[in-house]
Amino acid sequence: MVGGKDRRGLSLSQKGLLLVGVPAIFQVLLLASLFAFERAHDRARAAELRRKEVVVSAYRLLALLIDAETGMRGYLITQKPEFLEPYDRAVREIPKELSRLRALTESDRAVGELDQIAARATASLAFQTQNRQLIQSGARATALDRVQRGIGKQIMDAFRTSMDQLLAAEQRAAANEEQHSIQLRSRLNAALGVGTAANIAICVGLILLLTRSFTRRLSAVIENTYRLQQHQALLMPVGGEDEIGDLDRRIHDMAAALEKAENDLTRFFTISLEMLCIAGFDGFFKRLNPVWETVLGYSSQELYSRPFIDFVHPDDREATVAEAKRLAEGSTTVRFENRYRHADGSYRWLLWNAAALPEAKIIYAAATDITQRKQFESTLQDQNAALESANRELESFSYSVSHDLRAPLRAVDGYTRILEEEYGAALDDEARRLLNVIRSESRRMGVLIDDLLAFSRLSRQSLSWAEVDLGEISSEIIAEKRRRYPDRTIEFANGEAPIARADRSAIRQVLFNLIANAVKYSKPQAPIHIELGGRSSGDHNLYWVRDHGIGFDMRYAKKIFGVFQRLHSDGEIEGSGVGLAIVQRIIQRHGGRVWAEGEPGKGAVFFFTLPVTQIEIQEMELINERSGNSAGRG
Amino acid sequence: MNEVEILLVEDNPHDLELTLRALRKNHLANSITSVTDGEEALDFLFARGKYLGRDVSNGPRVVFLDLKLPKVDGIEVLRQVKADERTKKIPIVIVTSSAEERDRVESYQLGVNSYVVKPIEFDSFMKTITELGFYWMAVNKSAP
Repeated sequence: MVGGKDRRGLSLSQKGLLLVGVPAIFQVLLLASLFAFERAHDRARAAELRRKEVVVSAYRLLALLIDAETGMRGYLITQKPEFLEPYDRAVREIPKELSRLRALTESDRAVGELDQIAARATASLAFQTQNRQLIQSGARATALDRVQRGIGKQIMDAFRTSMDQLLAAEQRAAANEEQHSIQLRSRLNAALGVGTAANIAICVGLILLLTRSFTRRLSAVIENTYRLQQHQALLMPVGGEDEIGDLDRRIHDMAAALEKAENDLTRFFTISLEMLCIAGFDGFFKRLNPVWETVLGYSSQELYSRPFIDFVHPDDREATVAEAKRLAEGSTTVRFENRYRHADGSYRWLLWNAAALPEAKIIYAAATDITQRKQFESTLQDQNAALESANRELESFSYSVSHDLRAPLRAVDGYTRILEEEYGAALDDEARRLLNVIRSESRRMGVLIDDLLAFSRLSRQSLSWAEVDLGEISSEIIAEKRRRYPDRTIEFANGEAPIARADRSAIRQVLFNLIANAVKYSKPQAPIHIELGGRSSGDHNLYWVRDHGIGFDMRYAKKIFGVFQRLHSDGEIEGSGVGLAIVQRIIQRHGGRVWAEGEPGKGAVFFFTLPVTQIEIQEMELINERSGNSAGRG
Repeated sequence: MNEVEILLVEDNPHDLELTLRALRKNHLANSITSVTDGEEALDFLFARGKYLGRDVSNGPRVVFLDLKLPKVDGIEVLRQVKADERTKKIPIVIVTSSAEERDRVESYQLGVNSYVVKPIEFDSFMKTITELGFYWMAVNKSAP
């Protein structure tokens, strides 16, 4: 009935409908034929009843006519009126009986016979009526003659013949109907039998077909879901356009997607530079990527075969176990470090990130070999320690300088003074002049030491940041200088220098040294002009201090910032040669730059920049930078 | 034995000579004891070693203490004197060439009574020592 292709073309609900619908149609057909048979049967019964009534009615008619005839014969003989009573009844009853009979046979074929019966019954009754009239009119003999001649008998015989014909016709009709009814019943039986059989066959067939279509394919789908879970290859697609087919296709799609995801994962797993692993709560690795073999030198078989804790450095085991426990309790491991043994017996530092999936009792972890970094760190620590110790040495050196260099100076000064006091009278002018030179030189050396110490201290102090107004500080310094040199005219042009973000006392030192420089290198006897200026310039501020002093040769523009670098001989200008070095150091520590422009006889400008946002440059960086620079300059 | 009025701890013989000269000139050095290292200073103050038998309670009225000393340095001497109940009331004046902030901070933390940087120039040096002697001998009232 249904081809494989067609069957698959139907959805599950359509198939269900088929399973219910086809038998239902057969049942409806069966019911309809049963109903038709019932109707026919009812009709047959009604016809039979009617026929019986026809017979009864016919015989009653016959009885009425016979009674009327018999009564009339008695009247003829006796002339007693009571014998007329059957005749009178017949006259009354026969029309009624005839009409009943007609009603019964109205739809029948026997209309002809009925008309004949009616006519003959009426004729018989008319014969008796004539006889009665003859008798009553006194012509009894005529009546008797009529009877003796058998006229009445002939009429009655004719009536009987008609009645027999009617009955025979009815009989035939009954027989016909009986025949029809039997045929109908047998047809019905046949239909019932065939229909039921067909119905059962169809049901069985459908059930078989659909069961095959459902069960076999469903079990394939179930098998596929199991295989999917087990990461096994799936069965061939079950096909079909129904829901089972859809489900199977989805499962195949899912398997393909999973396989792709798995492939992606495997690819990443394989190409990763990190050490990736999946480990069980049982303490064994479940999956490792190839980096493990590279980093630790063991084959993966060796790594799988033993609990991972076996590979951990004995000193790190406790921490590792504790970390694994925390993981199992649901926390995440971030930047955990431990050491793993390499096949050669050495240890590798590993840095871990990990997370667990407690319901699956597994840990996902990624590790990086940080052995080299650890070595760098340790080297760096050593270097830092060395640096710190160097710094301490430097500090102790400056301490010695401050203490030990001063004492002899004081002694030189002191003993010179004692010599003057005790033996002054015995000395001539030249001897006293020589003593003065000794004293002034020892004083100068004291100043030198102080400056050097200040310079050294500068490196070790950290900066304290504040908003610094360079104009205000410069004005203070200028006022100080005016008090110090009352005989000099100092003109100060205070330009609008932007507020700086810097260490106030350090910047004061810078401005003090620059202004002191300007005063120091001014032209003798002339008014001293000093100008402070500044402007914002992007991420830093630019400042400058300009003078109209003796200036310098640009060839030495870089040299002037070196310690003890002086462009003028001691005889010309007094100074230690540290001031500008201090200026440079302070500006550099603020992350700024300093440079100078000048021309002999025309003055000098000292420029420096300060970043707008504070950055503190450490002494070490400056030292590194300086060594780099000097190498660059050759 | 007369009461020791000033204990001078100074390892530099020239500084010692200049200091004594300044104090004597102003008649402030009636009873000066001078030692040249930290260990001897502690021996004196706690009456031990070659000062065994000295009465500890008969302490100096003031100690002029240099910081950079052989054997035991000045900071250590200061620490021990100020840590001991018997000696903690003795005024200690650090007289040093060191203007180092670190030394100053540490000295004051240990309870120094005064911190003086030796001026480099002779005049200032003499003046400072004279004032110190005058202040601690004549002006200051020591603890009972």
